Amino acid sequence: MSTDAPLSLREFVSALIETLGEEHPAALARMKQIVEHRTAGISLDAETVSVSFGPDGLRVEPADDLALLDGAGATDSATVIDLLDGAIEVPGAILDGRLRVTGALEEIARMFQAIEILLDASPRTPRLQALAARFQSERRAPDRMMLPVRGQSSWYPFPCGAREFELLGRLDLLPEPPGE
Amino acid sequence: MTYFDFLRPPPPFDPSAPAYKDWLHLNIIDHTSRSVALVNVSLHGAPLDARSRAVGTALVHMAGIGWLGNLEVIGLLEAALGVSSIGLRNVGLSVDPLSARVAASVRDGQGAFDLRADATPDCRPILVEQHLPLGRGWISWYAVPRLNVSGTWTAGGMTRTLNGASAYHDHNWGRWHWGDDFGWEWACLLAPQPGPCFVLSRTTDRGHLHCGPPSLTVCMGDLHRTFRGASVRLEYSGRLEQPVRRLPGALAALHQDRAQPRLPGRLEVRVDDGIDRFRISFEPRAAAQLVAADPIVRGYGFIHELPGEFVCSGRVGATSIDGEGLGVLEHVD
Repeated sequence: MSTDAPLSLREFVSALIETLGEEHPAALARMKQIVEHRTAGISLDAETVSVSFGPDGLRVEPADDLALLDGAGATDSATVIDLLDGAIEVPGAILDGRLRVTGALEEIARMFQAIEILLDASPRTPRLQALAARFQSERRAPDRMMLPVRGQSSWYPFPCGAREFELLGRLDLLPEPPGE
Repeated sequence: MTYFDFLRPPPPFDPSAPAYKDWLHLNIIDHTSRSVALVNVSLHGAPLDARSRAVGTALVHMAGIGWLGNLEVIGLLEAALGVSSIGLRNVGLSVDPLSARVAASVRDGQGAFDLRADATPDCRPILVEQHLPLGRGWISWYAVPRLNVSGTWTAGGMTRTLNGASAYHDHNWGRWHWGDDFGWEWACLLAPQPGPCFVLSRTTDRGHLHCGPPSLTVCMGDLHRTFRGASVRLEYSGRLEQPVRRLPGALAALHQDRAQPRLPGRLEVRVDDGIDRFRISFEPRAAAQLVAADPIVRGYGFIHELPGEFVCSGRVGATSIDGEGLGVLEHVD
């Protein structure tokens, strides 16, 4: 176990992308091509950074106003741990309001593509796996207990009202009961 | 006959070593609580390659509650390896090569699933030492269809003894890369003692359109018979509508297209060799998807574990094969 000080979000993001570039230069080139000329914001707990690729390479800097950036994602450490544990999935985290993603559709798609490149490289990159393990050991609440997992969360985090069901029924938009 | 089972690491200078796979597997079926547990420890990649991984999976599906447990991945070089044992930080499985007793340990406080189990073979093993083609590689395996198991497990805050539970164990080894064009279908189905137990298997292509000859072994008391080829017919129907527990989370996030896999709602197995005749109906009640990433080449396999209930009826010789129990269907693509 590392005895170093816990990494900040800025240090984590820098370490992930620098490691990707050292181990898989082609993957980093693909990532740059997808997000070049754009600046994304990442908020984790109380820390917010902006991420971009400039002429001098990767730039990860503290940021204040995510609205000024091309796109942004905001979440907390508990949600990231739950995602890594498979206790929740990305669509469920978004629908439950635990992962907030903002920006134009194309910018959001590009952000997710960049994340996918990183995730795709990680099974063949022990150093990336070590960073994920370090994140979990530093950020996991010591008394955290996983609840039984049935699968993905319900579509919306709030229940439908009676009037909504009445309207859907009138328009014949309710699903058929099982077995019919 | 005594069979000495052991891990099969590649010999020095084996050119196929990067495709090396080896795993030990234990299913525990608690007939009382109707819970189904799986413990799997596996090795992926050449033993001296720093990229190679050891994966430990410990999951239990509790009827009416859901899945508990988790999966861990560490470097193969960090795993504690023995002649026939693989130990990770939270999951370990060890087989005594002489007595074939299996010891399993799961210590996963945050996953709310802990287990200490000791399983003793109660029937003859199935041994497939020859190399069965699997994509561009091959697989061999050794299985014990039924073991008597003792120990305790804690799941969801409740501790239970495993007395009266049944277990199944297998050891698979071979050479393949996850993501190659292959798949397999496998199931272990166990009725409580003195009822029957079954082990079903066949290899397929990734789309499960081209299937190898199936094999089904039935064990009950002194009865131990294996039926192969045209005498075994599998028929899938329906679609499992339950949400799927997917692990590890990072790879589940990468493969959103596999979040709702097409899995069967029912499996009918008919065995008829002109003399002996019986049938099995299995209905899965849940599914877990384990995303297997190859650590050497880019590729992914999707291992679906489907616990559920079965009923069976028919005869083998003078023995009536009637009963019901629990089992796991595995569908890999």
